[in-house]
Amino acid sequence: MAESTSEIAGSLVPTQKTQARILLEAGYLWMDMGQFDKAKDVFSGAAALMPKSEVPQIALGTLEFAQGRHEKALQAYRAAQRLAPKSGLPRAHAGEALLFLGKVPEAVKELQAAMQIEPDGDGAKLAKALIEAKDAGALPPKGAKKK
Amino acid sequence: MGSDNRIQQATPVRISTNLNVERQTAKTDFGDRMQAGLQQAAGIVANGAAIAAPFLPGGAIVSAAVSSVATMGQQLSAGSTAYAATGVTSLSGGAVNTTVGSGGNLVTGGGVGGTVGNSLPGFGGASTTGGMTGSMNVGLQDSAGQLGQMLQVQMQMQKENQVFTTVSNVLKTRHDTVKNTISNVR
Repeated sequence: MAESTSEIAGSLVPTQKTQARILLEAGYLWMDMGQFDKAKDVFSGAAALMPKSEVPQIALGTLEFAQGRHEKALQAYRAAQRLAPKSGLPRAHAGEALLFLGKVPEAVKELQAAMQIEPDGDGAKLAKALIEAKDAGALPPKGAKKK
Repeated sequence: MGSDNRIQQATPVRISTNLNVERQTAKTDFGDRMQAGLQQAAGIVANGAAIAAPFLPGGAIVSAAVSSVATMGQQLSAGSTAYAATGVTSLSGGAVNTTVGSGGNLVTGGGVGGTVGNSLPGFGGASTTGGMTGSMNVGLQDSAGQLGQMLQVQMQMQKENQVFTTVSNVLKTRHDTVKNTISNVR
């Protein structure tokens, strides 16, 4: 049986992109179904499998965010930011978590940074949408604690 | 010569002792009646339009114009009766309708014109016009209140629509972002 090379940089074991996609997709499906524990198991496994990738960390942050734990979500997004400092997506997600924490000035700073890092990237699109929602009065939510 | 003597006799001087008295009968010539009628019509127009002015677009302009109509009526009543017929005819035909029409509202112009037209011929349309003004006032108040409420509801709906649109955009962007991230995992 031939040894296949890994398509994921820094993976613990040789992993194909398709396998990684299926794994992450399964985690998001569990999360959308409200099975947060199973989703966390899958995302934690993906993070262990791909320790150099920011994608599982963002997924873990999204999972915490979906459960209303914005502080833990922010921690996961910061971890993703450390793994990919030139990516705007972790900063956009961090800005989103900060908005829900009621820290509007810091959130705006993160969102603007996300738009500057990758003006045409997904992070910039998300940051722009979040700023528009903030300007429309939809964010931060009324229950957000101002700290 | 006797007749001469009679002629030359001193005739008694006749001195009228009647004093001037005021006119006992009503003065109802054309000029006076026209003056009184125009004054009444101008007053009715002024009152009606002044009531309606706050509820209409350009109300300040209408109010200012109508106050000048009332002043015109007072000036006419103080003017010479001898010139009343000529002056009143030209003013009633031109100035009243033109001035009120400058408010810029077709409804106002039509209503005021109708009021003048109804009250001028008989000089007795005041009570009828008052009823019309009252009903018009109530109707305008209702319309203004409903319009204000509708505008508020419309503004709230626009704001809610904007909020829903932006939140929907955020959710869609997040979904697309997750999809792209999973697809481009490396």
